[in-house]
Amino acid sequence: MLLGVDVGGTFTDAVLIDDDAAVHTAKVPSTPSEESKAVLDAVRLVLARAGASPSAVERFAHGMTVATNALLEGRAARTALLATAGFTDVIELARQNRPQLYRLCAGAPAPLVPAELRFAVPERMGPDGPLLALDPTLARELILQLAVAEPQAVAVSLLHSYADPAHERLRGELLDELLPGTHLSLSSDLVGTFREYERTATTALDAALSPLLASYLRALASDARALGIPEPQIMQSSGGLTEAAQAGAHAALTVLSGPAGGVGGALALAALADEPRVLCFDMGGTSCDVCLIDGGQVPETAERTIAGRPLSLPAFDIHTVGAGGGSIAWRDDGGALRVMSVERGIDPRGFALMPFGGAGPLHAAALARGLEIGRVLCPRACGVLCALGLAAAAPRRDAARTLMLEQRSLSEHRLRDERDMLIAEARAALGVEEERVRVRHELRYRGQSFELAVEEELEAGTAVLDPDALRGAFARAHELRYGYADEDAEIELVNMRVSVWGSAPAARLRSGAATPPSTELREIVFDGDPVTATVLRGELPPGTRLRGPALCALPESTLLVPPGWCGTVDEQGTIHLHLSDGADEDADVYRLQTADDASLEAGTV
Amino acid sequence: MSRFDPIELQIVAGALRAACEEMGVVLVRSAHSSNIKERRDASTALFDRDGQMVMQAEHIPVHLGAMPAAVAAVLGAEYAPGVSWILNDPFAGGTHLPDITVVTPVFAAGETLLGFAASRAHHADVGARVPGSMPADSRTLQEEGVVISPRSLDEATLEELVARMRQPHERRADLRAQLAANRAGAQRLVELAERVGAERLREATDAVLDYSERRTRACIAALPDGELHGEDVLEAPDGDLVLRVRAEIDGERLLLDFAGSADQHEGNLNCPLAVTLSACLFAVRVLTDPDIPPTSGAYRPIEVRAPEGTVLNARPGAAVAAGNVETSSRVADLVLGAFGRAQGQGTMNNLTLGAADFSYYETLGGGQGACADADGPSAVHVAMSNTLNTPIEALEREFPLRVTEYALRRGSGGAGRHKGGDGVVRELEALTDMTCSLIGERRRHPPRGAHGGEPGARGRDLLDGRMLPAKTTGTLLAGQRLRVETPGGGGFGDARERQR
Repeated sequence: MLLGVDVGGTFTDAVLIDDDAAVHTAKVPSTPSEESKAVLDAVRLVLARAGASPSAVERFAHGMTVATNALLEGRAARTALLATAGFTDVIELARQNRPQLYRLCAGAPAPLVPAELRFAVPERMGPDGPLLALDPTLARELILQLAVAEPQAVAVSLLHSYADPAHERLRGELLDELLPGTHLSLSSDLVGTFREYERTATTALDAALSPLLASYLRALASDARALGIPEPQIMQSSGGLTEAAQAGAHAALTVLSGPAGGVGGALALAALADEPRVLCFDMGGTSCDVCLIDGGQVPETAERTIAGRPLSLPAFDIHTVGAGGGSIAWRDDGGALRVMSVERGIDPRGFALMPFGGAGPLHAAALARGLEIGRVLCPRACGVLCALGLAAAAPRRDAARTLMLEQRSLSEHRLRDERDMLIAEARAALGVEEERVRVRHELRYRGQSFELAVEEELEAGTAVLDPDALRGAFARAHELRYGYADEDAEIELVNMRVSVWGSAPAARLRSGAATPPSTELREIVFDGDPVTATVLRGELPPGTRLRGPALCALPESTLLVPPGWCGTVDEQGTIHLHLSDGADEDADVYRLQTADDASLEAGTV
Repeated sequence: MSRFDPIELQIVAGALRAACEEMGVVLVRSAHSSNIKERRDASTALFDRDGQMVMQAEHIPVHLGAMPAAVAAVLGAEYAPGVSWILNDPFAGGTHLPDITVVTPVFAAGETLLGFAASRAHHADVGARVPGSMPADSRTLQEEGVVISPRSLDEATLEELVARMRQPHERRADLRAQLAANRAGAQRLVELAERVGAERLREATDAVLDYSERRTRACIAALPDGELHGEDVLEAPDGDLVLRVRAEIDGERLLLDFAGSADQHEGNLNCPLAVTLSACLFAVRVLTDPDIPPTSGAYRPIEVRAPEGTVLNARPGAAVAAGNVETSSRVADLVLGAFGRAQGQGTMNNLTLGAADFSYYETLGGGQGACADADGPSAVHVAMSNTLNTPIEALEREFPLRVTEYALRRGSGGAGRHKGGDGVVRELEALTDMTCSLIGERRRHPPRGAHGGEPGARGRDLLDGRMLPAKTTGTLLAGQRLRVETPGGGGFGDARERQR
């Protein structure tokens, strides 16, 4: 049995997928002062509902907000930063833009390391190697100086360490020797790509949040053992799981794990519904997160931010648009969704729309129309999709490096060497047999400063990309996204990222609903006109057919089916809606008679 | 007029905003030069068929009032579907020469003119004597680069123009990116017209314009009626130029009159009126409600007067390279100062380095002036610009330069109940010989505080430890170090009242 537990701001959700692929759920109030309490409550409750014993749980996957909350509430560890002499303020200088054009004193969040805890390292790397060697005696003195400040965590981020990490590593070894037990994050180790501000800020965030997360996870692991379930596997921002020890060592990897679980759940359900292209939106009361599933995958990015701070680590490319269900401004969001799609080179027409979160299903059909989308998929478990995603996730490790290889240095040999090195690194970290390997080449035309990714799934026996194939694939990606490819321009391989996955549990889910929903007729106002709609309450068993106008009061949210939309419920309990072309008016949708004999349709087969 | 309920209005405004943002995304992502891509020195906007700006994606405030001027410059010409227009002449729709605007007329089916899509981008080079086209010592417009009077842009024109600029390959790519952005905007406008009907769209954009106007009027009405005055100086190489403003608030109208400001000068701190207007509109947005949609309607209640022949409304042919970046900052300071605000660094600290094979242009952040309720942020662009810095790790790979220091300039912000923000220190070492142009302000006069707050520190520029004048064009030899220390912001209120 697979167990997933997701801690949200209000509720902690548990999903248990039993050996017959039936999905059991539980929801308990979150306990923000002690997150693990609600986690254990939810686990006990879902086990009781499924009539399962703890020992039957094969895997316990967990997503939480411990690190995120600590960040938002300013409870980070006392963190020191070691940076190249002359550049210790980079973390505060940021990118020099102001967050709001006309609110002049609206500042960016204060850096996680205050000025008095930043230490200048007398060394200098250039893009092509050391310019000023690091003197080990001076380095030792500096660390002793740092020790006096008694930091709980230390971040090390030196200029150009993505190109040559030697100075950072030496520094790391000395820290381990002189300050044992202090948490340590190296930028070359954690991030490994260029752009000093983003790399430094990510490393500082990692250091500042790890001690707290590590202690939470140690306590939870011991509680899990006591309860008789496996130690937790932790959801990363990328949607893959990692061991609790690694998560505790690098809190930055999991800081966007909350929404990642939901995306994982959406991916699993989209795959089961055989929908390779889905626009997902997770709408709560105050905000709306959007992401695109294309070709059965969600694009990734290393350019996300959290609470105004950059996070240069692989994460699902989730876009937050301003308004939640509580605001009328959500009707603007059609435009915002389109900008988000275009920015990613995608035309949303032809996609299916998948709403989740409390408010999503209510607005889905209207939003779909605005985007010229004709199909909506509403998961039965749309209220606990994050926990479902956790239960269905696979372990994953990543390794990345900035290569900055110009075309002439881009030989097949060099590509293979770099790739093999990164694969070996990621594979060693994964620790189990990998099921899937993906190489992501981030390329640009020389002179550009944004990269486009060309991804390659490595399968045994298939040829790997050579420089010519890479150039061709990049030109196609560029054409798709920007409308032109430049035949004459030189390409440049900026970053290479390797991801390896362990095996994912078999994706098989079954709706548990058997009894038909209760139905009644209600007058509602729709687009300014009163209409009589069918209101269905309770879970909808597979095979249920719907015709708008109807309202489905699902266990955790409400789905609005406007006039002109029809739907059916699949084996997983997912409701498929589509714009009716009249052909659906067949006989197996039965009619309810009302007092005034208005005829409306709804019901089950 | 208003046959639109608030929700419908929101939807049309939202669709226009999204279309402008989409144009910006297409432009930034498909341009080649780091100036546009990394620093996002670009703006995009949509216009109705009368040349009224119905929405703008706000990236750079200095383009605020200047975009309508660009469309006005091509209004009434003979348009053909698929043919765009190009210009950069500061006296015919432009601001300064590196800012090139491409305007694309948008046609609905049946070839009726719906409106215009326009994009403006700061190109890293447009010819000129010095690479980067930001000479610190130019005296005529001709010295500053290729002057493009409004003309239609076909492939031959594009080739002819880029051939006269440095790095023509990059210029070509950037101009194509602007065309692609306009195509995206045009397509959205056409789709919107198809969905709601061309006439209904026209009514809707009128309603958006009127709505912006109403909101601006309400904000101005909330200010006490009366006259405010301000005075400040620009630091021209041969002496200070005095600028004056008289702000008159009369009910729902605001007049900003710059009579009494210095005559245009021999240098390049001159502005076309469009730049002065942009700076005034920036200040008004700060003083009113930044959420008012940025449209021509929002600007109707505001009148800006600057006598012709002054530095704020120069005559055609005057050199203007620094006017767009520096004088515009001063105009914003002047207006905000008249309304009792502390001053920010008031300069963009423009640094241009180049040789035959590269040009590098960067502006540096500094201290923001403190507000009545908060300290001024440090190390930011304070007014007319909001561009990103170039990462050191990118800069050192692309250019023969080494950064030797990049730090906060501690203590440079003025003291006060709320402190002014600190400036920055950026020091570069040249690895080969190169030309260097430096245009800064607030080197002789510090940014002022307000309500008893102290001034911020003046900026300084040093070559191997020797002070340089604020406007410098020269050569940087291999091994020489150029250090720029940017000004701090002014404080607000008496420092003795400071909490903590």
